[in-house]
Amino acid sequence: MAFNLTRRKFLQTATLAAASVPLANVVTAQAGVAKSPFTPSGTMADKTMVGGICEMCFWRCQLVGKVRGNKLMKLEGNPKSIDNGQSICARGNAGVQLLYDRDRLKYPMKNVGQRGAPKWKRISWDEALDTCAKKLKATEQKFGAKGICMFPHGASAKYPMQYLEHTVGTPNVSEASFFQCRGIRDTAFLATIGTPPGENVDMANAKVIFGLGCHFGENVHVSHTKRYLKGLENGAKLIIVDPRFSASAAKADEWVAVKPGTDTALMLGMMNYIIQQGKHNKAFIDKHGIGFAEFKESIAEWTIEKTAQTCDVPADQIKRVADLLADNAPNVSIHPGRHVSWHGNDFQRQRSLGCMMGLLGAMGVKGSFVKGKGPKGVGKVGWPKGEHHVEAMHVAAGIYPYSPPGTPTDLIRDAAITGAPYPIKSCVIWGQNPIQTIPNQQKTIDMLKQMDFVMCVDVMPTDITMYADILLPEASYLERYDFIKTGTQWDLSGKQQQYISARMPMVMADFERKDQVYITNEIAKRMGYGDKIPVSALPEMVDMQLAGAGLSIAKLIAEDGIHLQPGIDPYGVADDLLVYFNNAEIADYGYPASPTYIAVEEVPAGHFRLLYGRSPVHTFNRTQNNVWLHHAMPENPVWINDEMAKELSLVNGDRVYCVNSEGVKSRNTTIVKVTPGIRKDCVYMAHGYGTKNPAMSVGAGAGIDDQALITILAVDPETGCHGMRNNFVKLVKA
Amino acid sequence: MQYGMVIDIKKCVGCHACTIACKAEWEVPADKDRNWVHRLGPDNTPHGLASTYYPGLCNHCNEPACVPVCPADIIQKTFTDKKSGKTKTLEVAATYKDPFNGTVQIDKERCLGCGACADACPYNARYVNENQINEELGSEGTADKCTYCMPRVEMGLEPACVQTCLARARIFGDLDDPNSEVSRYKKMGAKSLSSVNVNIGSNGLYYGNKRDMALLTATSTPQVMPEANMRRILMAKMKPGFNKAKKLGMLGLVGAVAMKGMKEDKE
Amino acid sequence: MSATQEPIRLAEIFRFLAQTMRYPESSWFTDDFLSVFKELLVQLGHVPQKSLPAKITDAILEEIQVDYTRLFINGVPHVVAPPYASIYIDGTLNSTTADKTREYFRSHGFDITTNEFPDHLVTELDFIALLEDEKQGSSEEFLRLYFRPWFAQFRDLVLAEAEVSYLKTAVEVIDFFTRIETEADSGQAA
Ligand code: SF4
Ligand code: SF4
Ligand code: SF4
Repeated sequence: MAFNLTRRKFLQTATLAAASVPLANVVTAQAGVAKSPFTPSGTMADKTMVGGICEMCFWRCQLVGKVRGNKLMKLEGNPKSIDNGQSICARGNAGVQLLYDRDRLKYPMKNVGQRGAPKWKRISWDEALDTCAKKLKATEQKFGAKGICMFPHGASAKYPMQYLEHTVGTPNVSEASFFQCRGIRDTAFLATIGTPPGENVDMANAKVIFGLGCHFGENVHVSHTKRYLKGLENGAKLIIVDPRFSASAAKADEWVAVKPGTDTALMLGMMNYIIQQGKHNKAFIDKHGIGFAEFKESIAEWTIEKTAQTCDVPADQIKRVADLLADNAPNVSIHPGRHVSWHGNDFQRQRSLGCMMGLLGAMGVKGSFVKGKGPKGVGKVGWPKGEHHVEAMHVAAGIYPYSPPGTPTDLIRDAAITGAPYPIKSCVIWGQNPIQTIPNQQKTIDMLKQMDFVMCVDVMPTDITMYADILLPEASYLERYDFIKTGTQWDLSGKQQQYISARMPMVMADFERKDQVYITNEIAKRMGYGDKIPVSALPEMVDMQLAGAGLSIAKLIAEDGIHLQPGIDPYGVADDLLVYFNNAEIADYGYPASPTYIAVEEVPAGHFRLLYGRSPVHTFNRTQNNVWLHHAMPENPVWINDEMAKELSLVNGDRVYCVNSEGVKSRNTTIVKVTPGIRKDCVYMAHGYGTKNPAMSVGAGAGIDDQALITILAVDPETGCHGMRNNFVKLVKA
Repeated sequence: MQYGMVIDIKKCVGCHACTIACKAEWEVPADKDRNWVHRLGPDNTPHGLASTYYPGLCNHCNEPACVPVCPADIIQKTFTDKKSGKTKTLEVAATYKDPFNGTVQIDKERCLGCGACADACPYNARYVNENQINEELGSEGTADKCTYCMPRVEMGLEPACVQTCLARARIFGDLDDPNSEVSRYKKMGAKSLSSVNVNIGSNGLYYGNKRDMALLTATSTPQVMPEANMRRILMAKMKPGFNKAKKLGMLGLVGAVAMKGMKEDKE
Repeated sequence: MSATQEPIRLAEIFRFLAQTMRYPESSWFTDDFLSVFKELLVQLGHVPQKSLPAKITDAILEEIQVDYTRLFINGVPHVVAPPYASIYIDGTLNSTTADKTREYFRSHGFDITTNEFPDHLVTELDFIALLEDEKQGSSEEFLRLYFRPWFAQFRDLVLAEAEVSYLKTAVEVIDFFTRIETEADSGQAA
């Protein structure tokens, strides 16, 4: 259409007399509202907001925000921080682009199309909340609270999760941070040394740092990485066990290119060797060890030769590494790992790491496993427990005795799909993207398709949001109060200090984004739980929590966002510490009482084992649409051994698809990285790429989504957590 | 005084924080860079398997290739030493080397956005921000690059990339001061990425173990001065003509022609 | 009530155009509104297409809302035409261009009153209306330096991708009223 006149002409002649009302009458809204070359002025002079706490990853560094007008220009580490200091990582720096991501959710929306093929319509909060409450209530009434399941992630999901778990009363909550990540570590260490370990190794003061699959540098958490680097600077020897020459292996004194899946055997072989050499810490074991004799006997079969053969590692190197550990004990950091859901034999491997700590007495002393002593007093605010307590499915069935809190993911999916032991008909997804966190995507989709109701709360239109009926836009970590972060100075041997900080907004939420307390409370009121609401607003919750430590938001602001107080020396071994080398309770449940290697499936001919890991610019799959981060590493090259590449006539930069042994082909292609720095039996790619939701206009189509290729399910029998490195792929030229 | 930066690749973990902090600090467009991190290897070197990083930025060279090619108007510019208050007046185009602190800077008000400097830099440290057009000059954009964060440094702050680096792998300071940390690194053997043909006194120095340095220098040392250089120098010689064009109000036209020529050049 | 016979003021038109680009809601997206819109098209020498609805029903409103959401808020495959200058000029939302736009507002004695970004289409049209209120023709500079450089790209996306013709037409009308007219244009028809 072209208008056949000029504006001048129009203004001369036109009249709108024929319209039913004058022009001005139909305009109802209130109106909202020196040219020179651009010289960026920098953010030094901008207003500084204190009290930021990063959540580009879960490490949660302390920030300040540089604000110009009402716009956040830049984030920096809070100069008062004794944890991350003024440093933040690439993702932390890129938080600004999450805040202003063009694809970010802005308004509540209703899906008037299909689940998976949504058509969105912006709706009012009232309509959205009414719908959510009505649908959840309907499920609750028809199937009981257990008919509702939840997939939460992040600080904002805690409050609604408690509402559903405690007050509504469903046990069907599955956190990816447990079941697809670190849950196994926590329960395995609980069953070994009586405490979940976190990443609490005093690497800064270690003589040897030992990492199994740890790839610091690609995996970045500021104060954690600072400890690691300080250790190296102080001359610590670094041992990295990894099938790939990772960022850490590149800095290591020993790179142990273990055959994937056999790590437990390596640990057992080394421990057996150390015992044979008489280099174990007998005094420590006598005092703290339980079942050492049974343990010793149980691992006696792991000779150096057998270990070398099983793990495909030179016998000499195994001895060298074991000697290095034993000779420097107890000032040795055996890193407990973080993402440990690898092969479905992971509980045993994590136990073996705990046993190694015990064997070397590498606990409580400088450079070993040491937990900082953080401040006490920060209060808890939570939803009250309802009258009816429903047992989780695995508890009722007597399986997965070492499951982390919540319900193992596959039990929920299976129940939803089959209706047994009972139907699950409503699904609340809060900050998690189960499509890219849980293996076997089709199964997740099947689960969602059969639901009566699916709601998502997120900041970004992640893959899972395509399956929502109602999609709610959440205030990001830069726009709300919530998380209380406490801890100590990053270098445990430094001046002993403690800190307390609470997340405060850097800017106010734009558009109609709301925080978790508002959303949860409004739904609770509408579901008839209004009388159970613990707090009316987020700042109130934070103030209540801080009050326990004699603080408040106002006080924290006056202290530049961080309260510091004298700390406590963290070193020393508690008299009642027990290390369960052999744990009879585990045997009672029918699993090996001493750490045992369970072989994983061999790689089928013509395939490679698919390994994945972190990229320093991404956190899981949450950051892939961030323009700054995307530009830093736009895709995830697939690493392949140079000799194998030659056989397959692949050269650096070739574009390939991946096809797994079950015939699933990657949606996108990526480039090949040919390198001598990876074993011949596996390929590797960084996780967190290739979202399937085209609504993520930056990340969609960029790189391969490794999760899509993980279709063979391995479930760790003790914990019910997923193992995700038992899938095999071919590379096919695009 | 000569500011310089050492990057200790023994410490660097390749986290890219430096790159992103710079973007935020100086409003660098998402797809452009004032600094960068290239991931190198794993690859074999004479000293064993290596994998490291090339965190790069403008080297504020002693004989910058970008400065003489700038075809913008020559003006008299007075520089002031921030410490002593001394002044010095030099004839400069739109990009110049500061006689007091040794940094290479761009005069945004007068930049024509022609990209001659960006073409001339063997380290690829400059880009033209095509969204920032100077209406009055009829420019094609504005050249931009690392300033060593002079506005921050003058306020007593560290450069943004240095401040955020969790590894403390970036060390900034005065190479003329023998007691500075950067000079200490230089004495320990930190060296620039220079080759036979590209040896223009880079003040960006790298320090690391043998294998990492072998990989870094083998992959990231520029070997030839950019070809476009000759053409730009020619352009620079035409400066009087350029000035005349400006007086006649023809600059927009000339600029457009120059841009076109440059693009053809690349093909 | 009969409509005014007075010449139409450009400011009023811009205010109206801003309205056309707000999220359509039953509170204002009425038959009256549509009647004005259609009459404007008639005056522009254009017989409104049949595809413009005759009456607003719930179904029609929803159809427009869905298309609006997909085009301008969040969509599948992705938001088609984010109505923000920054996206087209800088490639990122709420970046330098947004700041410069706000600076321009301020240097003319205005500021934003909503929690929208300053470079949103509606905000810019509102601002143009305010300028025109003060002095006819005073929006020329803003149009040339701030509005047109991105609007043309935005317009093309909407014309190519919009499903409901109301939104397409509205964008075309905005295009007409914001085009920079040269001497040559004033003489003859396009
Ligand atoms: S490590 Fe990085 S992403 Fe994680 S909290 Fe710290 S700054 Fe944020
Ligand atoms: S911030 Fe420091 S450690 Fe990270 S890539 Fe840059 S120089 Fe290396
Ligand atoms: S010194 Fe400043 S301008 Fe230069 S790369 Fe670092 S942050 Fe960027």
